[in-house]
Amino acid sequence: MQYHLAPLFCRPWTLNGITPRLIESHYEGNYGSALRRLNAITEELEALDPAATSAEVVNRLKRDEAAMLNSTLLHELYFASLGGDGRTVPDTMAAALARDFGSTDRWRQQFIALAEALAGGSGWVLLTYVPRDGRLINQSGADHSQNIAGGIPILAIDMYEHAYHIDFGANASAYVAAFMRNIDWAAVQGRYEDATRVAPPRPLEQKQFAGVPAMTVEEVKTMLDAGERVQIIDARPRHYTTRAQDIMQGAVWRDPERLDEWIGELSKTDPVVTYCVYGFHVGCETAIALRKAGFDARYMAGGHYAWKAIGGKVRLFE
Amino acid sequence: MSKDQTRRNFVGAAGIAAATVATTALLRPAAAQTATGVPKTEYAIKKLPFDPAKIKGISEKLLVSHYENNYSGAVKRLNAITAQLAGLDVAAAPVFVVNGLKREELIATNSMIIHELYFDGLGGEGDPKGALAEALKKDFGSVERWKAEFSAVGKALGGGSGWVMLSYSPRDKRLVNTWAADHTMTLANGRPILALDMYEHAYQMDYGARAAAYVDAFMQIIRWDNAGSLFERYSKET
Repeated sequence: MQYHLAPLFCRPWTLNGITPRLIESHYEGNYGSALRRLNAITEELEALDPAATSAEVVNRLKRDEAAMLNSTLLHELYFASLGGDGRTVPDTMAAALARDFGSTDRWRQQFIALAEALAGGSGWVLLTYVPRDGRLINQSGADHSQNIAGGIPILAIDMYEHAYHIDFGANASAYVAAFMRNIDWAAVQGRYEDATRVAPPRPLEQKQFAGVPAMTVEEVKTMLDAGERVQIIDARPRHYTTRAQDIMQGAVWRDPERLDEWIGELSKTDPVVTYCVYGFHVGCETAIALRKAGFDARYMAGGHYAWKAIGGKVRLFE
Repeated sequence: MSKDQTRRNFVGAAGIAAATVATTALLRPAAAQTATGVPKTEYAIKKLPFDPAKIKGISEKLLVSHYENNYSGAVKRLNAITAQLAGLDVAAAPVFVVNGLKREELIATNSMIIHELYFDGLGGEGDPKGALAEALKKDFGSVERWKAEFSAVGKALGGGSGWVMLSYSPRDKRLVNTWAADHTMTLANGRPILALDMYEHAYQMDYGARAAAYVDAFMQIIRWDNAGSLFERYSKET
């Protein structure tokens, strides 16, 4: 496996306030050496006999590989972010920035602040698309290895001193301003459009309960906070309750195996939410049974532990 | 500040410094207390201990920028952070505020101290002598072997941030070369006696990405009397 060099797209002599000498030193000296180092490590790794190699050696090589691969990727993104008129933001990007930051200006202010905070050392500031929630965030990392898991960066400013020292000395602010002026927004937008096609991480579904109406813990909390009338049944199995220490504030415990004994207590008009330990079958089965009996019942996805994970109030379980 | 004025100050300071052994004491004027009762601390920027125009292999422009922006910037930042911490209700502050400020405080304090050691170690020539030379032979086999390891560590840090330091370790009464990827990494209980700044701001202006050439230049201009007197002091500690 050999990684291949990505040629420069922007024309260094057309950049506004950044010299070809700086670009050349950066491209050859930092990006080029990262790529060469990546290939050397890859060769070493491929030549290893996994059975005969100690964990420490593998660890050291893999750590180096991650640093050099990230350096290669981020440097390529950096050079692919330069060469345009940074002041003109095309419509799709402007709309996305407004949606996720309030306005292009608010995005820009935060991005610049993060970059300037990295002056005097190493790091990157990235505009990153997060597939989980389909949105953009600014992200700051102190080295090549700090990135949002699963994030797709679409714009990068290199805040390592090698990225600006030759032209700007220690004046990181002037460098950041020059970078902003040179952003190739057309290229950024293309990468944004590609990123939005990436699906969020695939949720694992409980197929057997696909048809049963559920509520998220946040929805339950909103109902309770708003003072809505809702009957919350903690349907954790009896054997579990001997170990349980707490119960959701606002819930009552009922034995899921003895539905007949307590179903008569319930109001027929107010909605019912049932839950169990983790949101698997006990809570669902109870909701199904209640629905069959004509109640507006749902199960709370995630169960008792999901309620606690969002910081929901609990009381002592007596 | 004009260039000429800068030069006069530095030359004056160099004259005084030549007769002085560098110390690591920080200057703390006894001062009023803040509203929270925490004593007010002010760290002072030390003068550059040499004439920046006279350092072989590193330009005046680079040294002045390094001193004014990185070192002095760290001291000023440290004073700002210390003031913030003094005014904080530490019991009530959110964890990320405490974490953030203390982390920044550590970075700035160490940057201040280690930069001072770096500047104190520049402007000399030749090889170590006396007790320090003997200790290097004992702990590394030879002065050449120490040089090889020290410079290799420096070169390995090229392209990012870091320090390589020659440190005395009281636990084992020996000298070691210490790797650091930033200002916060040092040998526990170690006493650094020589520091090589491998942050890119230390060499980029003169050497671009050629970190190895910078390291080679540094190895020719080490001011051994500073490292030597620090070694004598630390090796005598009980």
